[in-house]
Amino acid sequence: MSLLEVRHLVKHFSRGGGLFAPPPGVVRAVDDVSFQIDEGDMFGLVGESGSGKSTTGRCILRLIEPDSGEVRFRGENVLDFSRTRMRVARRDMQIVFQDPYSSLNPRMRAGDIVEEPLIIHRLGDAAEREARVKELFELVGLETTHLERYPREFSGGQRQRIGIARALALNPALVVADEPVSALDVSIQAQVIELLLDLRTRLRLTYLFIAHDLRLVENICNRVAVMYLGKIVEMGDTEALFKSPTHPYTRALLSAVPRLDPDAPRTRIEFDSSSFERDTPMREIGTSHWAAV
Amino acid sequence: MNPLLDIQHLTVVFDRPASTLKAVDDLSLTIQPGETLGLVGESGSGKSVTALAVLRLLQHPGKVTAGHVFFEGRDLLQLSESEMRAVRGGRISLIFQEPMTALNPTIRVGDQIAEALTSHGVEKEDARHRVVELLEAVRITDAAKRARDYPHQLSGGMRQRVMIAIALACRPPLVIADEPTTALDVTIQAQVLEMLDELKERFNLALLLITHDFGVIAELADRVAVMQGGKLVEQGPVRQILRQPSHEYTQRLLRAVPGMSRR
Repeated sequence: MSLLEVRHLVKHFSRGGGLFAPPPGVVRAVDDVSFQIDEGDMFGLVGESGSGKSTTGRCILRLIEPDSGEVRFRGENVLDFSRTRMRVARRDMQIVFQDPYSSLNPRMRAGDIVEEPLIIHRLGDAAEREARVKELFELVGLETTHLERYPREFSGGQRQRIGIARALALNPALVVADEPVSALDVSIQAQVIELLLDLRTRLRLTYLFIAHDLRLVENICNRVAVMYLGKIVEMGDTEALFKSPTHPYTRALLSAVPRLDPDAPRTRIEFDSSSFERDTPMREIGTSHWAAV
Repeated sequence: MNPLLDIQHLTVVFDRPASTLKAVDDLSLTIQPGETLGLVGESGSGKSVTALAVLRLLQHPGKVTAGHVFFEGRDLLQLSESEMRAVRGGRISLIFQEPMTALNPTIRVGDQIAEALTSHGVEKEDARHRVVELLEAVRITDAAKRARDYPHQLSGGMRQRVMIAIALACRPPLVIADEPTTALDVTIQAQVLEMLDELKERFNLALLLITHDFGVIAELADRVAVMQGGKLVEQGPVRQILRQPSHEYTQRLLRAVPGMSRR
């Protein structure tokens, strides 16, 4: 059984409609999105700005309430859960945000930031929590002597480690990592990625890895889905998808990634957005490889 | 051939009450006419500060404490402020990273391009025609109509094209582009890079391309200089740097590029 199964997820936002705004319309941010993530997967959800990848991630955790669809976690639809039940379920599903500068409370000490989820979920007494926070600091490669420091006293990479420690505090099974390294310098990115991969083995984590960086996703994810304007247009095992991209948008996206070889032939494929048919269903085009073509 | 830009032993310090930070430390670089030099480094390596020092746009407490910046036979560091104003935008222009904040939101984009021309002595009527030509050069369709738009009416990619049009307005021989595509989506980045490549040829531009992305370097640069902690650690032709980097830091940066090991 899959750890997470998303079925026909929909989230529309209304737009305009103010007194002086253009006539109201609907942005189909997430438009009938379905996929599943198996235990231990590093599932990459890629797309450009406005593709709906982050909204999808947030809908899964119900940080944004989806309009319809199902989010089955270990077989149970979390969208049916009551508030109380959902709060318990969130222990198992945590998120790491993109920006380690704005996602940490600047007035809280690093140790308190990591401890907070334990307090909210009433886990352990003060001494146990303190021990757990220290353990988490060591787990993500932070100095336990820095527990008392404020976020501003850490570098970007260290801050992201604080965010990861906080996300791991409750021992989740699934971590939604929303562009966890895109705000970081490239050599720091590599270190944080190493950490995420290492934690995956050590804690048997499953990741939904949301990213715009195709090179990164190709390198670390075992499965990938490509989103465009709220739709998944192609999905499959990383190798198959990168080897034979089939949807015109996927092909355009891959052709736009700069090559590191100055002599590599440049063959840009342009994607004409007016040719995009939203309603084309996904079909199997190879072993573990689907595309809406 | 004489270099177009010849930076010699440039040192920039930031004087703070408690400490002095050397942001650029004895840096020497040259750029030939028509050449693209990629300046690579991570945050804090001094690459953007170098660009600001060349244009003499450093803000207090940053200041140049040593070195020369020879450009078209003159040391820019010795020019008067009014001479320098003629250089900025006229002979050397700058493309910023953030097209959202670099444009004035209250002025129509056509007027912002025209300002780059009229402030360097072009008559208003001529400027009007040149604006449309420039917008066409950066491949904005329906240029005459778009010139009347405000920045918020344009997409991120279009705004960056407007920025490039402003930079090219006076046909400068040197353009400094500071992370010109970092804020853009990858398909838009590809279009902008392709366009820059074409404009380089067409206007015989020399480009100082500041970036942290070796992919962008591979697309555009002829030569590469790598900075770390204010110092130049390595420079050479693009193929040599990408294929056989000799400095340990360059090797580390290249290894850190995701996918490098596999492609």
